[in-house]
Amino acid sequence: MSSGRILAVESSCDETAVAVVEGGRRIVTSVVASQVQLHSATGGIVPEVAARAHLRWMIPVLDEARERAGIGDWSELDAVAVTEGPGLAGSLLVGITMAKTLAWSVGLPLVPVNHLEGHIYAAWLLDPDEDERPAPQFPLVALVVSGGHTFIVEMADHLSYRLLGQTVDDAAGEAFDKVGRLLGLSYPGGPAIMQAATGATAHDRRFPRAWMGDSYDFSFSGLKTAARHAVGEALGLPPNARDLDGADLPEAEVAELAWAFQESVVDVLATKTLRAARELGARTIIMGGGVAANGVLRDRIAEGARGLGVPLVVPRPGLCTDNAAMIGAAGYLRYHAGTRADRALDARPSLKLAV
Amino acid sequence: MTPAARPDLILALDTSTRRSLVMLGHDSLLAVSRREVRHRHGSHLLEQIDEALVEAGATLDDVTALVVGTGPGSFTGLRVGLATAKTIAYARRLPLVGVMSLDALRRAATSAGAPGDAAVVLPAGAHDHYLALPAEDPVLVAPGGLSDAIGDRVAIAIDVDEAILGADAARWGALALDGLPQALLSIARDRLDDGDIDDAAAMTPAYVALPRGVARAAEELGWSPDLR
Ligand SMILES: [Zn+2]
Repeated sequence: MSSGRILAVESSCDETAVAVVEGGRRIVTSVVASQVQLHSATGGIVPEVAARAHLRWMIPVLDEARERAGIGDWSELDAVAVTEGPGLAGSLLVGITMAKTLAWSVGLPLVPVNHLEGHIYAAWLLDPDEDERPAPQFPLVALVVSGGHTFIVEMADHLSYRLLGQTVDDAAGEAFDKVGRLLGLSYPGGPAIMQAATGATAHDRRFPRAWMGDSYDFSFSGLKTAARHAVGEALGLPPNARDLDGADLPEAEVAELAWAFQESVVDVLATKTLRAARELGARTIIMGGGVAANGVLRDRIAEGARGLGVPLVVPRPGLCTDNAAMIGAAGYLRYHAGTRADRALDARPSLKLAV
Repeated sequence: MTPAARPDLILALDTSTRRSLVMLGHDSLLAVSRREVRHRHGSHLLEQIDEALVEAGATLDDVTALVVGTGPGSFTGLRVGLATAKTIAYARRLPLVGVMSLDALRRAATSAGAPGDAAVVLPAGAHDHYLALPAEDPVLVAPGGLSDAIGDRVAIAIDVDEAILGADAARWGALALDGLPQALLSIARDRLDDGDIDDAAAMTPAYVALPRGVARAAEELGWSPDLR
């Protein structure tokens, strides 16, 4: 008998995660072992370090999820879903190996899931004690914005993706990390910049926006350069000076620069997402990915969505960042659509969502 | 069921070299599957286990213990080998024994006639090597340091170009690889007889060194379940 329960595994970057999701929406349990502490020491993710940590913690995380979900026998599950890509090859490999070995050794179907569709399907998730709420309506426009990805897609139906635009260089989250470091803030840069920006009072700085014509594409490398120049100037250094250390800047200056940078990123992301929703007649706007946890971005898009009369769905912050529940939500639909992988499943580090 | 009615069946894996190796046995080897895979152990390992089970006329239900080679060696290979062994051990509640692959290779080579103090040498990444002497922890040797580190000992070269350590070393290496299944099995059997079982969940490969530019091992950092 089908329980509608999917056990999902996510290890594409620096979070080792296992979740159990019922009916594609209801979280039974979602466990994450975060490596942020590990990577804050090196100021960013070292892929070999991430892969080693996944291998060390994968079974404790799986066991925690099994126990919390009250799974006595693996046959209580319908399938095992796993992120096959995109992501770091060594990290993906650990989660994939665990998921397919589990499926193989207890006789469950194995369902491969694209990490990026997971970020979109986080919008369908309900917490264990949350009231029912209607599912997002199609057609919809989704903005996925994280440390590794920045793109807008249109979905006419489940599992159907049309790419509207994407970053041509850095991901937005990557820009946050780099500028955060430049400003002497802690890793990861997103939350640190948002926090620092709340201290800004003058709001008189302005960084450039890269509009990329009237496309839905993004570019953040010019903004990064502008931030670098601004920091150099604030430190009284000649243009193109190397080894900038924003830790020497007064706090008020850091606040203004953080605000101006965040404002530029938010402006471009919000404007393009809202324009896509308007032009395509979207019935829902979805945000996903770690940067979607940024409150300023969320508020800006929410305001525009209200103006358009289109509902906005943003998962709570813990479901915007990487987690396995979102893989369980997408995996449930993939499972019922007949998507299967066999025991030879391998990592696909450059997997695309759509072209 | 009594132990006599159901003899021990050990499933052993080693993915530390360019080969993906699976074997089944108890007192003797019952089935061996060996494939040249370079760094693609992940696409082969489960298929090889199925193959070996069929050859031994057994199913996973018959397996009573697991053994895995912990390296050092190919990072990618070891991730696959350990993740596979740890997961089977967890899902099927089987005891798991980790054996340093270098120790098994040494035992295989000495069984084939290599001197007891021979140096086992394996590639470590693109340029460095792992070197192991008897009863010492393996060390990482930078390019150029290999002949000094080996001295006048006999070398057992695993996956090392013949141009670097010569034909004799390569021949000992081939013999060591031939005898690896038997050696792994006999080391593991001794450990299992002694009840010397590892903590499967916590097991990590024998890394020898930290990743470049990193001061602290990932394994040292604890975790708390972050419920999302
Ligand atoms: Zn992600």
